[in-house]
Amino acid sequence: MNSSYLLPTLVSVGMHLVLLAAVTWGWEASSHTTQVQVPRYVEAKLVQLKPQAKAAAQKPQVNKVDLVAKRKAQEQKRRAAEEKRRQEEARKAAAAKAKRERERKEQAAELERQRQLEEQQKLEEQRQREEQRQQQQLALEAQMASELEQEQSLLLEEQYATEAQSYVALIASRIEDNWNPPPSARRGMKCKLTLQLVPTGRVVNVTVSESSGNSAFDRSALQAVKKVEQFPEVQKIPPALFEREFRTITLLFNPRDLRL
Amino acid sequence: MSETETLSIWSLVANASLLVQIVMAMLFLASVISWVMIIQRGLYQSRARSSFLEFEKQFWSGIDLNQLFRQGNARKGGIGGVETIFRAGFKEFTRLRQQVGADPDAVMEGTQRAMRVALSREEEKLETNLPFLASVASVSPYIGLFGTVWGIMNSFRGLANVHQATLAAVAPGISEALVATAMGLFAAIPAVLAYNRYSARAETLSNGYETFAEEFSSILHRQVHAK
Repeated sequence: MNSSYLLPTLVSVGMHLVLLAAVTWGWEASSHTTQVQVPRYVEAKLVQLKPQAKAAAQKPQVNKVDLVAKRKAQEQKRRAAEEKRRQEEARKAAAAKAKRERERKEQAAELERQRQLEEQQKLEEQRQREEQRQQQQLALEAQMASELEQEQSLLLEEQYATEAQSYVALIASRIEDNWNPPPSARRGMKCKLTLQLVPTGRVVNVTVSESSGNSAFDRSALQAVKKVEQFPEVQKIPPALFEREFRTITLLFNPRDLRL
Repeated sequence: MSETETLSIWSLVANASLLVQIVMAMLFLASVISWVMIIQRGLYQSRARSSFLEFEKQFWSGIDLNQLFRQGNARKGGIGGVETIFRAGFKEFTRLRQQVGADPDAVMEGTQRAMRVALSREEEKLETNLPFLASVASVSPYIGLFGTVWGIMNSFRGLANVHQATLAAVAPGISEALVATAMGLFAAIPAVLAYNRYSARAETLSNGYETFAEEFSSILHRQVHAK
């Protein structure tokens, strides 16, 4: 009999363990991830521009050397031909060649100057770009900070609003408790009351700011507020909230338990 | 950060009050044990059913009863179900017949009595553990409900002490309380199903045994009065 229970016991315990494991890892009831706003900016890096610039600067020189070599070859040919004829002409040719040489050197110097100028310009540009980027980043950070502030103030506002609402509900229910419905009161009647309160919760003044259309109802509402005289709930309101919302409040008096 | 925010089922169980935890542990244990019973019963009953069918086929194949009895002698250990009834009846029958001057009616009566005893033993074997399944099935929802009610009671009592009533203040308590009901139902549902199925099957099998015993005794009756 004992051995006939061994297999079932093993199977059952194993099944429950599997179930526990499934419950442990498969239980994702309310996993809302809070999203952190990551500032999105693209970092600009100069990777390829510089080598290209160098190559561009070097190319003309190579060309030039080539040209010179060609020219030299021509010159030699011509010289070989002319040497047969006259020495003077050769000298002239030599002079011409020297002149050309000088011209070429000047040209090279000019090119060199141009290249330096270009390089300087490029550096300048790069610097400007860097500056721009920094400025952009600063602006972005400032924007983010301001957004954060805005959000926080919004949150605070919201919190205040909900808190205020709960207190207003308490006040309204207290008024309702002290209210004697006049015979002419009907379901759905509502009026707006403006209360002036002091931090102790005492009612300084109360007026009907929006009539229900039934003067008896309005009067009974005023009577109810006067009967309450002091709202103990108001004492618990934090001072900042009180100053913001409760110095004078307008609340909708809308009794719900009217049977008529 | 998300670790604290998500309510894992473990944190729910760990935060529950002691009574609710005890209830949960009880229900878990009940579930484990009832599954042991379910599996064991299932294996036992299916084995009993197949052996019953096999034996009946063999019995009605026209085999000599003495030979059938000897076959049972030869293979030890695996005897159970309807074969025990047959063997009890046959053994008693041969023993009574060997006595000199035995009254045929007395022989038959003794044989039938022996078979009745064996039959009731077999029925008992078929139905062991079924009462446990029945009580798990009927009681564990109540236990779970009790845990839930207790947990919700506590969480509402906590709510009374809070200045501002928010849903967030009660929701975890209610959630953890509801785990108890879930566990109760989890334990109860398989137990109900298994109980219904197995008791119906046990009924069918014991009916089969009874019919067999009747048929066998009619054969023996014929034999005893034929001489």
